[in-house]
Amino acid sequence: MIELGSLSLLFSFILSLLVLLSLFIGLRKKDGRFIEAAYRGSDGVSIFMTIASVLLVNAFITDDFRLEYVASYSERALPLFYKLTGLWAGQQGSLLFWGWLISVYTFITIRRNRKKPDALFLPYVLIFLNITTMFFLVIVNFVTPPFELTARIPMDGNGLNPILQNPGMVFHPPTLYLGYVGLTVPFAFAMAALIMEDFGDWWIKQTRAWTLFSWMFLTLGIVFGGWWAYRELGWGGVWGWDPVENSSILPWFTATAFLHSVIIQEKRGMLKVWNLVLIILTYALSIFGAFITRSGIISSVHAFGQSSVGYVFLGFLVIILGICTYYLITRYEKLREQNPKIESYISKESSFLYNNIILIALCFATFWGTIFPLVSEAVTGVKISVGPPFFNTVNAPLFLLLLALMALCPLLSWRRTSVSSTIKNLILPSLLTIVSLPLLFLAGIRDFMPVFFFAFSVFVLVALTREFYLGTKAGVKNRGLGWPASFANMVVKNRRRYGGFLVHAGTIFMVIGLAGYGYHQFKEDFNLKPGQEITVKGYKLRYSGLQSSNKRTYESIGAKVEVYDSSGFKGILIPEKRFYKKAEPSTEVAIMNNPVEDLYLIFSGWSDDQSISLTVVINPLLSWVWYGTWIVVFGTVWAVLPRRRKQKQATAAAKELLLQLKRGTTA
Amino acid sequence: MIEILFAIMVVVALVYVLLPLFDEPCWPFLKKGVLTEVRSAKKEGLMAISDLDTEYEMGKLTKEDYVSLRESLKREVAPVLKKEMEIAKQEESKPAELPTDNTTSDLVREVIRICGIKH
Repeated sequence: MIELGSLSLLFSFILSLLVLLSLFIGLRKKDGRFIEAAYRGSDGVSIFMTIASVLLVNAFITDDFRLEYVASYSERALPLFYKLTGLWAGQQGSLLFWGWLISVYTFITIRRNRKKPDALFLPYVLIFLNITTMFFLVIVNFVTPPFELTARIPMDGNGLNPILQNPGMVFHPPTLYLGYVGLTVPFAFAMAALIMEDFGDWWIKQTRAWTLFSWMFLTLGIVFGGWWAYRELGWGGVWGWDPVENSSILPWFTATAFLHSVIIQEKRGMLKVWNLVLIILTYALSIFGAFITRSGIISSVHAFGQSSVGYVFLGFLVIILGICTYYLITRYEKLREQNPKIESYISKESSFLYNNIILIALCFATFWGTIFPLVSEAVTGVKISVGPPFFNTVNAPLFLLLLALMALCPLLSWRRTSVSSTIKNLILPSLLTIVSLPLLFLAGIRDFMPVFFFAFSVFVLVALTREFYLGTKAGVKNRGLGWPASFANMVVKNRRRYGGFLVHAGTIFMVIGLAGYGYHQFKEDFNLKPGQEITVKGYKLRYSGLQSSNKRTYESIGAKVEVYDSSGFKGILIPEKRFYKKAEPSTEVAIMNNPVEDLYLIFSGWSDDQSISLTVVINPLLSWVWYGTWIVVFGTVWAVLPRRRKQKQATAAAKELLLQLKRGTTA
Repeated sequence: MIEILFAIMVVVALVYVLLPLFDEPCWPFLKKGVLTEVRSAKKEGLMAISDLDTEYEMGKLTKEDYVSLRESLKREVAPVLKKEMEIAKQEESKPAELPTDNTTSDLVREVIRICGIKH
């Protein structure tokens, strides 16, 4: 079966070459038979890549240690749960998984469009999707093949790194890849538009759902990564501005900017060049992320280690950027035609533009900080690392500006908004924000940055709540509906608008959580004897003794800590030291969370008389990050769900205009 | 055994992929009609007006802003509506606009495939 896996990958590569050839012949000769053959070839690529992926998972399940990859990342005693995740546990498998996802997305894209008679864009889209798939097929066939056999078959595998034996391993990589891969689809459509010189908003509309879902998965992937890093000691907590973490957020910045700026193109026909540049950048940055993560060129706790694969990504990145730049330059003049100008600097489109500028500034600052060690080494010969203080100092004010815009944007209208309207709309959110300041002071939040983060969060939440209130009120007043019916009518008929607002609300929850965690963390070390009690920030902690356990892949020693607060007994936390049979020992934290704060215990060590060293950490408001993430997911799904737009209202406007045309009263 | 299985899979795949090359040459893509583009512009213009109406109903615009913005939007949409009417009149004698629903587009595609728009 192993042979079948490698042969499937090889045949997929040959098929993908045929697809590319067939597309070029079909487009050059205007012969639909070759295009149809390319579509079918692409189906074949996804089928054979699926076979290869299933066979690799099967090798993990059946403990087939003839494979170097399985022997390196699995062992007989490993729970099935983690054997299934073996597909993306290491370099080779994760690259196969990435390539397989692209082939599946290509399959879906073709299925959705191949029968449309005006789908001339599809062959061009397929060229770019196929090139990306081919790139991954080159890697898994010729650079790091996942079906490579070992020289000596071991009796048992080396086992999965203990740090990877975490639920985060199940969710973080797949969601992140779903985000990266999904963004390849709008990129391919953008390139099709560029090559065909068809610069309307058709490609944006065609890929709207792809873009939003991919952005959602990218967000989820980043948050799952933070959730996982929070639970693993030495990973720098939820977010540590590590180069690999940064490489995942770089495409997120540009994708977020793209999400907003395409709305301007749809509504006003503006920013055509900018949108193309943004999606090209997003695609390029996801490839750049793979280069950073897989080359080991910049040291990171999350990297795959040193490998030549990263440089293959770098080469691919250079080629892709070369192609994109060529098409952008040769089409630039045409792109600039019919590009309306912004009428006023106080308008919705202007606020979107400012949002784009800030997001790109964040992207650039993060990019610069990430590659600075390379730049400094090239220039001075010394590798200077850039740590969290740089990123926090530079990015925090930019995030604050972004928050302010999130509040301001819903208050503005398209085209132009008068200063008086803007001031009128700003009064309530500003007043409530000012009122929140003394309350924040009383709550103990007195440092400059956290005060601003919390106050701006209040500002945004009030502005968003006001939007929901005004929309509902308008329905009650103008359509005679009751308040609940008016609210339901509004959010159902304007899914995109209110879904977007929910995403913003979710983001604010995340900001509140991160501000609490980042600026108000409490940490203290204790030495405790069995039966000893301590009081920390309103918690009474009683250490009752050590307990040991023996699991399939490790033995552990845990410190049993009873937790009480003012309301009484809350539960028992058991932070552990784990001793794996085939890996280095690890420290597992114990967490008790509630909406106000997380109690986070680290078991640092013990002595013969069972006394222990315990670190107690209180992380305020961190749960808000996880709640906010689910609000973001719900808002995105709500915005993407198929909807019946305000057709009735638009029809009424059409009738009114037609009547005026007939009377000749319109200019 | 594996080799035979793989060989069968490869043959089936190649037959599936190469089969269309034995059909009659055809070009199954139609150009976007002018009317489609005009109707799309009309829809966008009308939606912009309805968005503006919604914002006014919500009390986010002063009456003065609303009236002036609505007038400018109407001035932009009016020529599009005129153009649509003109093209529709001109095209009355021509074949119908590109179908948008899946069933009809399947039919059109099938007709093109069978009759062939030869180059």
